[in-house]
Amino acid sequence: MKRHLLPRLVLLIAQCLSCGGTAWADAAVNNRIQVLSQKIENDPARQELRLERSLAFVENNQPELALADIRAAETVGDPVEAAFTHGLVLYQTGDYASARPYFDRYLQAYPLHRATLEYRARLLRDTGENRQALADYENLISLSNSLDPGYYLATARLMAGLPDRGVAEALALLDARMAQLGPLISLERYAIELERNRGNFQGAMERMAGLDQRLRATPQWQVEIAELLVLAGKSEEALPYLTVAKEQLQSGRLPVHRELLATVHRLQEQAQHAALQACGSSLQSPCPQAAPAPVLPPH
Amino acid sequence: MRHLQILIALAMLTLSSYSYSQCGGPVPLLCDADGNRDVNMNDITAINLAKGTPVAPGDIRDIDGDGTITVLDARQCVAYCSLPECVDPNATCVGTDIQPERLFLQQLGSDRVIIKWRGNLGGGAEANNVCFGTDMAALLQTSKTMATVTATGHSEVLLSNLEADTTYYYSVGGAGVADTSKSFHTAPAPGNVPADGNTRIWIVGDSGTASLGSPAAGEVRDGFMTFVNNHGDEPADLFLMLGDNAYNQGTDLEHQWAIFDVYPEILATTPLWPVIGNHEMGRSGASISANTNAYSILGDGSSGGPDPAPDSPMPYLNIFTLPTNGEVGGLPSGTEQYYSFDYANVHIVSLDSQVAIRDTASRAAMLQWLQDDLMANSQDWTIVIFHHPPYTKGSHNSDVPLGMVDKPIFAIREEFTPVFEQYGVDLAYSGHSHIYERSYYIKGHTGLSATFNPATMAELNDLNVPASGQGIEAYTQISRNGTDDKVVYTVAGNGGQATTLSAGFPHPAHFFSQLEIGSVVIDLDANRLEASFVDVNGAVLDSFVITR
Repeated sequence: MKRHLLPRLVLLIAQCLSCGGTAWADAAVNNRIQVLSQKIENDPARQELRLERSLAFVENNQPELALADIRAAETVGDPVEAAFTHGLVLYQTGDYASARPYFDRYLQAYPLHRATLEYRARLLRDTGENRQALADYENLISLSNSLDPGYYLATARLMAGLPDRGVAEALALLDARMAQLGPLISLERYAIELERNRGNFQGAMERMAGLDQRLRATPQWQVEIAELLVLAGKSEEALPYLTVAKEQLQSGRLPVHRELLATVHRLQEQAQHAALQACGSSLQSPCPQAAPAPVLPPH
Repeated sequence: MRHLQILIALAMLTLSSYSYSQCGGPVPLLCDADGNRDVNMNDITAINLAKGTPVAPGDIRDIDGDGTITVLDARQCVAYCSLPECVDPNATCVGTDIQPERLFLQQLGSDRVIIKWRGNLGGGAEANNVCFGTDMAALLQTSKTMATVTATGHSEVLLSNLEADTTYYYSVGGAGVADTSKSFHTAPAPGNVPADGNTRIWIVGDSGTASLGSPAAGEVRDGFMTFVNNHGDEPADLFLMLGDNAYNQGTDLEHQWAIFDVYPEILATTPLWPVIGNHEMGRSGASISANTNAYSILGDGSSGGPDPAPDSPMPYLNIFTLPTNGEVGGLPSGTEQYYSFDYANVHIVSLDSQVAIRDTASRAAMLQWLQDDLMANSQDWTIVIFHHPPYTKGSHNSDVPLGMVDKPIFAIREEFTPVFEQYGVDLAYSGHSHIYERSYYIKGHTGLSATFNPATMAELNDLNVPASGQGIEAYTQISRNGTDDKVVYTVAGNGGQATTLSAGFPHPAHFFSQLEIGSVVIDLDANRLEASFVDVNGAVLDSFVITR
């Protein structure tokens, strides 16, 4: 009897939310809650309906009702079957510590369940348990070859941060993925960042040189190459790139062009200063002439 | 004995032309009369010329093994041709056209298109090939292209090396004739305006309600067709879907009901470019089904029945074949979840605000790709499409952070709109909220609705109030401040329903908001873009113009 009353109560709450303009209410989600509540009323023993509605409650910022649904779901069906959704509800409320055991429990029953692995990997990463997070990410990568580049980025970041794995392994992962799919700018950018951070400016520049031709034709590319040259102590070589970038940016009408122009000016000053210093400290030879402007890649 | 000879001959035929006998010499290739290791028209001609010649058993020209070279040998050898010139260049296809249960065009560019289909409404065997050409009365044998079949039973062919800005006709099943109902028009060369001077884009959002039994999406479609009839009979060049294309779970069957059964004529002639909605990809971007090969947790429920196809996660990605490697322009994204492409002089970016955006690393990867893609873009116009709207007061409220950890609406507004504005996006279209809402030409609005300041965020007219984009207040791509820094944001989640309003309606950044079903039509050329909100009667309820 009580079991039949609960859906009505939830339906009533949902209806009130949708008509009352409560700050946290959302009409579309309320509508979904109403539909699910009706179904639950007709079929109260159906566990998946309650799991589905619990997630709608979370989306509607109603975690207490979500957890009530989860608890009900655990009584009408096998609690293991509700474990992933239970973990997901807790994860969505930001209660990572409580979510973790439910993900573990579900993965014990379904070790290859991709969604659970995904959420546990994120949870572990976001709570600083990087080694275990990396294990889950590597498991995910082994399970699917169609993951979006973000998974590889996350995995590479974790690898790079672990002393016994390190940057080289992270770069190898990124390169292996790009060998499979072709150059991917989101992964190559991170590889460049890793090279740059470990002081391998030549390696970073080589990767920059391998970017898509359309990118190499942009002023941003010129600026980034110049910045790497400055960092590598080759300020003089950076100046021609900055000259090209400046020319390209003169007619630019986008806000990003203006930002880049400001960077060009900053780098020019920095490079000229460094070049003069180098020149002043050199007693053996006269100050070198500026290198010729680099040839732009064809458009 | 004759059968045995044929079997031996066929077995030999299956050997590669590079096969060699144990003695070290090449194995003779059946029908290869001139012995040059391929079978082409020269061989067929030679066999024809040798008609009536008695030959010894095993002669490579005597394919039927009857001891005499006949016209039948020549005809059978045509089937074993290894070079295209073997086929009579004027011969038309001889197959039978079938009507697939779903037929749609993907990745149409200036020199390519993918034709994809599944099923046969006639009840017979599914087709495994396509013939195509520019003459609908004569689709040539030389065009016949075999399909590859995907794990979910879809057949697809990639037609490449096509002429730009050209109409082609095709037959699924390899018939020698076609009609306009199965045709496509390739894009102009990138950067060029079409020969007819105009690119027409049709956009629907949250249109997937037919799978819930609603007729609204069909009414919206008919309204668009009325608009077309009243505006030069020019069909859409592109068909964009803003997500929630198939309610309620986005199963394969729901895609059939909500997309392929609603727009069959349009899909057979116009390339479809979708985005992922929250009803396509499970809850919180993941299937919560325990079955790793299943997608829908409910299975039946609102879906109405079991899926006819294997339903590995996720049906959206199984059904559509979207570019991952810059196949139609744009930078490679490495995923079908988000991508970009060029059509004529417009660059279109499709973002994933449902799955990738929910994880910090995936969001960072998408954002990085977006920045570089836009930086490399040199087209006249740039349009971004995604599901979750940055500004809305319809059935969703962009001031409400739905959920507590994942906040797609907030992520779009706070992290992505600044990129749109920095990198020259002109228009941004989203759905999710079941309403039509169109903003002013704005920039820098990353907060809640109360923080919208028209004086600093909107393009102003001569009276210093936000310009409407209409008449003498038409927007210019370069704002009055000399920078291309503003975007018109439109919510068009009204392609299948118009439901409710949120507290605070209308959003202060919006010039026009209406709770009515309909769709959006964009017409653009080199210098002018006009976007219209079209209702079910084909009437234009809102429009604006940007010039450049």
